[in-house]
Amino acid sequence: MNLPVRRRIADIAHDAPDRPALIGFDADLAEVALSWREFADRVAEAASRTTGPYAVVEAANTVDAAVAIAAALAAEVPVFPLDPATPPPERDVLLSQLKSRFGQEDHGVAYLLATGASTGIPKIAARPGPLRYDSRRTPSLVIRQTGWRTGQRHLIVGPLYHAAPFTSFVDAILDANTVVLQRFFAPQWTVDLIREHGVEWAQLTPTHMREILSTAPDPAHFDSLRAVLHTAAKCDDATKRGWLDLLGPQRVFELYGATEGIGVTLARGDEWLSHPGTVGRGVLTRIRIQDDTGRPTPPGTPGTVYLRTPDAITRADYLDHRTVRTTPDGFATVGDRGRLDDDGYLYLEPRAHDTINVGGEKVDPDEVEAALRHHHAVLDAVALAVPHDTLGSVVGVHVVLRPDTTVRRAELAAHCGRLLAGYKIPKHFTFVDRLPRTAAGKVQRRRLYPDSEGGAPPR
Amino acid sequence: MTTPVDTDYHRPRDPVELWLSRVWQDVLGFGVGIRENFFGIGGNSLDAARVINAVLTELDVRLPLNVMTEHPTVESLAATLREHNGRLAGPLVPVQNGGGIPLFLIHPDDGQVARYARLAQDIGEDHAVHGLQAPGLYGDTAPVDSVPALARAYADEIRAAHPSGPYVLGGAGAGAVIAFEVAALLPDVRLIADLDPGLVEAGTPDIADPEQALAGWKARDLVPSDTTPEFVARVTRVREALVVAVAAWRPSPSTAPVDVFGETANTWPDDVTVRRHRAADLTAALRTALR
Repeated sequence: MNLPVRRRIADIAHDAPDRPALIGFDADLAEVALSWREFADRVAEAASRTTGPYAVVEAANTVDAAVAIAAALAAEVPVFPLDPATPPPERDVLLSQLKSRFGQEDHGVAYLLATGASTGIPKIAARPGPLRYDSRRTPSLVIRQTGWRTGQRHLIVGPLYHAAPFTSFVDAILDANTVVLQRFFAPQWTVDLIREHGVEWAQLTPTHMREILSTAPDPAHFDSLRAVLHTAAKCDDATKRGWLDLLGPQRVFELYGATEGIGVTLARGDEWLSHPGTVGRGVLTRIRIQDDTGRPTPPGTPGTVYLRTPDAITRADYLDHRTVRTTPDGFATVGDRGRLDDDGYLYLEPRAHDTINVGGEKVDPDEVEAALRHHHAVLDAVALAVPHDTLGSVVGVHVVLRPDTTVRRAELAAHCGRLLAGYKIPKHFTFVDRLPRTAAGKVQRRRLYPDSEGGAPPR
Repeated sequence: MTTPVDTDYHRPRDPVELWLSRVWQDVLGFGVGIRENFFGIGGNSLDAARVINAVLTELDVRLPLNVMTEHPTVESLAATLREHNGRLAGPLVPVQNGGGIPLFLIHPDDGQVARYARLAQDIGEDHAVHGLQAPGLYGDTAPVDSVPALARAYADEIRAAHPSGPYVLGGAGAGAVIAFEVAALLPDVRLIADLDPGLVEAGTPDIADPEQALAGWKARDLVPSDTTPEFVARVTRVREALVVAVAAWRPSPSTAPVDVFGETANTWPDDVTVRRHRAADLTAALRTALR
């Protein structure tokens, strides 16, 4: 069975017209609910007005944005969910990439996602299309293994312009879920939504998980949950164990996979407990660790993580024609480093390059430094990760000011905020007389340790 | 001599704005003006939750989760919390979080301390600065018209916050006189600063007509836009009490020197060493004393 999106949504609405399809919240946080009948009608109506060559949807977690995304998928117009807070300079880069690639009708693409990938510079990944509902493959076999059930009540916490929440939303509507859309993340609200709506399945990031744990929630409030799946940034041990205690190991799943869809690993809580720190074993995915010369390494030896999946048809290519690195025999990597153990479980290592990971968002230090140097008081700047106990890390900067100049930290932050997305704005500012650079002019970041002076203490 | 390159700083104007600015400083890690956009300077939803939690803990007010989206500036959020000024009536009002030798700045003749926030920023965003706010402005306290009584009350507050020295004290107008008397009650005072009123915008003009006075203060951004004539009446009563207090002041025997920055109207006893500085040296001299 292989159905177009429009047909699938109509079928669900026909079978269960009064069951809720979407539960969202308006600007005053009043609940807005659509039944499947209403959802299907609004999607059909919006789809009739959606024309190519592509659709950009300001993807706040609202019912309207969800309808617009579903409508574009139904109209088979490639849809790009955009972070509504994207500042104009970044928006220009993304939209010009879209325009150059999608100047005319192109039905070979289902959706487009912005991805920081490994460099932090905004890029767009395309998912081949058009999208079809296939009862055996929607959602994928991997997701089916995480306690997902057709028709479940499904909470979406992360923003719809991110790959993981977006793709789980797409799967949810094709698989007749009731989707609860949390408008923005607040930990107590997530717990309340799970309890009030009897949520059965949710995908969270380690940051969400840390914040929710910090509210010391009552395990009884999670009774309805069949599973929590977490992805994105590497989850620290304390948070992981906190959730294994909260839900029990059978209900916590960890998935590692890049936006680019080159393969995936999965670890259920009990597997994690017997292989602490693992991101799991490959699911329909072969894993190979290669050293710098391209030779596979034996178990226990770290190297670059390559994955191979027979499902290569769904692999996304970057719009700017850079592709993920591949091997002649079909393995691909996004540049993560890790090792395998004797049982075939994968463990990730910290990234080798300087990318700053802010709660799963990738920040390229070059971009932050360039923005700061653009300020008339700034002579030189270097950006680096500063540990943060819920986000993993935040951006810290060491700044050299022009002689006889002072500037408020808030002014520099506001300046960065006019050029960069919010998570890229430095949280720690340290004013220094000079920066350690090599003779070639390269900053020696290792010689700049995170310094809390003048910034919020590392949390 | 350094040149500040931005002019976008707008200081807080009442206890709630001052308090919220410090909460933001705690959460964001740097000092902020009242018109800066929380999300535009790097605040995220987790940070917003911390602000909301601080309001709940300190003011016992449960704000909606999206309040920071609706009110993304200190000015705007403070307007929803103004009725709680009474809970922040002092006398000790933290102006800026930080370390170093704490600086205690005593109110000028109109009793208010938020005007010291800009000076605190100029000294350095990581120095602890406290204000001492006159009774009678917010809450149910009555104005006090005695320098020794105010000095004793302020010295007790300072000791409660920082049981041992060193201390740096200062103020403009009546604040300098009271600081001199507070210094006589505390050990290890490093500096008594008599500040040029112009340095701290201490010149809220005394105008007989409250409505006219209020319009002038609002035009000069000295008070929030929802300030009522009733507040002008309070300021007037506080000012009258302080004029009476300073006129009746008999300096206690003290040998502590006074550092005068710029032009001030205070008359110091003949046996007190007075060191005069140019007004422009103020922040540098304070920085040195605070080291």
